[in-house]
Amino acid sequence: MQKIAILSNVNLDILIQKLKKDYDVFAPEGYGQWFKYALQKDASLLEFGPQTIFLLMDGFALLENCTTDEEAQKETSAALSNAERLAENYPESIVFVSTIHIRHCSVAPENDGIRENRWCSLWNEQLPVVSKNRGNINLFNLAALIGETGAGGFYSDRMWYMGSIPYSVKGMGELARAIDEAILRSRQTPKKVLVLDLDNTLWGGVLGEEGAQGVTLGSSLMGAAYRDAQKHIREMKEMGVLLAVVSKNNEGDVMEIFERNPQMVLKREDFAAILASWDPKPESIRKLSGQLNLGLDSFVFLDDNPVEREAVKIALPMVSVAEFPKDVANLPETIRGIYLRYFYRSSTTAEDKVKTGQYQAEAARQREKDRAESAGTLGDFIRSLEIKITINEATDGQTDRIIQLTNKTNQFNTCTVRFDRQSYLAFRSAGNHHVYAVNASDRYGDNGLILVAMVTVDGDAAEIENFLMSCRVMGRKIEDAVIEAIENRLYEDGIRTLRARYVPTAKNKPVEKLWDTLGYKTAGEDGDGTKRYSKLLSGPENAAILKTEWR
Amino acid sequence: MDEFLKFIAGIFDVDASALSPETAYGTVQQWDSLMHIRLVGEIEEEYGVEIPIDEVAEIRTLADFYRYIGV
Repeated sequence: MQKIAILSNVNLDILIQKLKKDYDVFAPEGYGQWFKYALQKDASLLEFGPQTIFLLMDGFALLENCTTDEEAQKETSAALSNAERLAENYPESIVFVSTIHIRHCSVAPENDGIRENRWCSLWNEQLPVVSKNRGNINLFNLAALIGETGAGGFYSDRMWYMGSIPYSVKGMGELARAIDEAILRSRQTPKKVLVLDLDNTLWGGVLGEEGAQGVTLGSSLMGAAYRDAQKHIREMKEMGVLLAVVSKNNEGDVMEIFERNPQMVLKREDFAAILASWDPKPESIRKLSGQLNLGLDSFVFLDDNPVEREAVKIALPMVSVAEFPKDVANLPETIRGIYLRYFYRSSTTAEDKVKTGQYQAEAARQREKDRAESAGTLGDFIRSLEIKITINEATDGQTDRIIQLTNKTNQFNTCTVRFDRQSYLAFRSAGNHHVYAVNASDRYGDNGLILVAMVTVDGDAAEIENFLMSCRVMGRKIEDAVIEAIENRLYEDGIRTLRARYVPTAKNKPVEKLWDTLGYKTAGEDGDGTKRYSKLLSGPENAAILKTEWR
Repeated sequence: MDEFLKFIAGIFDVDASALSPETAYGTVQQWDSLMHIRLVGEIEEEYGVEIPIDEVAEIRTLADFYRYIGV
């Protein structure tokens, strides 16, 4: 069973009873004690070792003794700094800190300003700032949960006066469900691509029959439901989700609606790829996976037609197939649900926002590569891309992206060592460590930061502890050039022996022979299948097809 | 009554056969003072009834609870 800890400033014993059916739960005796666990490393909690800690704050209990805004400000910032200490003291755990909601704190005329709202925002607006500072803090939106459930049904005066329990049994049930979801989301690898059907999915009606202006899409009635759905889909794209179309339509008709129908929220450039053809959809999706160079297990498929959904489920079981609502009025909410279920990430990086362009370029490159490969001229193809590679010692500004890459990269990853913010910063700041960050661009566009190498130096020897590259640039010999550059740099620093490892996982087969092909000699194999390699550095080399530049 | 016992068994996380209408506060390990209050809430929620607060302390057995659900 997964281990979780529940800390709160109110009595949540009923919630804890419910959670104990599914989790191994740590909860302190007496609910007022949460900050004692926050302020110092508590031996019993550390020994318990929770994967996840929930700090569920009741807004009323937090601020009930405050009478002025100043007092409320003081109280919230003190509690928030305790929440931050909690995350600091238990760096191995994911810490979910709740937003706060206040049902009502006094009898007062509303024209004087609504104190509950003011006080809640003191906490709720500061919390994302705190979570930005501490990588292991995630936000748990208790306030929204109470709003969705309805405060009248979430709180219970009867439970309060019977047993000092603030929430109803129903409220506790909703809370338990939200905790399940939060845990699930924090453990899953987000999907990358949302594959969309067009007719009756992005608009009502059949494009081929109604024409680009005739489909149901607009600002009123059902047309507005489709338009609102498109708005949510666009928001997902802004969050880094790649959009693609797989539709049985004439390509000309599809291009026409993108260009001519002013009601379309989604534009052609919002999509990484658009496949309009009469091929079976599983076949088109497979083709798409090749073009984008992304595994089918990172795809989610949305289509109103149950026959198409079934066809994809059967032919491509690794693709997640989303349910489609019976009533179009529920489509916008379904889209939001798809985001939370499949694509949710606790935060976004700058790279996420420009991803679509990178993948559009990727699809173009891939088409060219297919042509080059069939003509037997891979080297020429690589040169034709005019790839520019720059390497630098990792900077603070690159931290988020590097952590993200160490956690997301499965295929091109020699050791698959995952880092959280804490462990990454500790590694980077140690004197005998190097973290090299590599950016690449080519004539189709900027790929961004796509490769990370971590090296430990020991006298005149060094070891590559982690070598990983984004799968979207695989097959271009970038790794050869980068390793050569790192070897040359280390040689200048007086290193004569460079060691490396391959630690096999279910997914990193593509790099099984990497070190062999780069001229490393086998130096033994461990019980767990780890292969050890080493190479003597005898002088600067200049053999790789691609050139690199240090910054 | 059988359905009711099954519902309570789900809350206690025990087999329904372990419960009877005579099962009382304090006779099973799960039924402590916290559970007593929770039962009030769970039954009210499930059956859409309201158990008057001043009568809660007098409820001893599952049969006592059963009377409030009005079947």
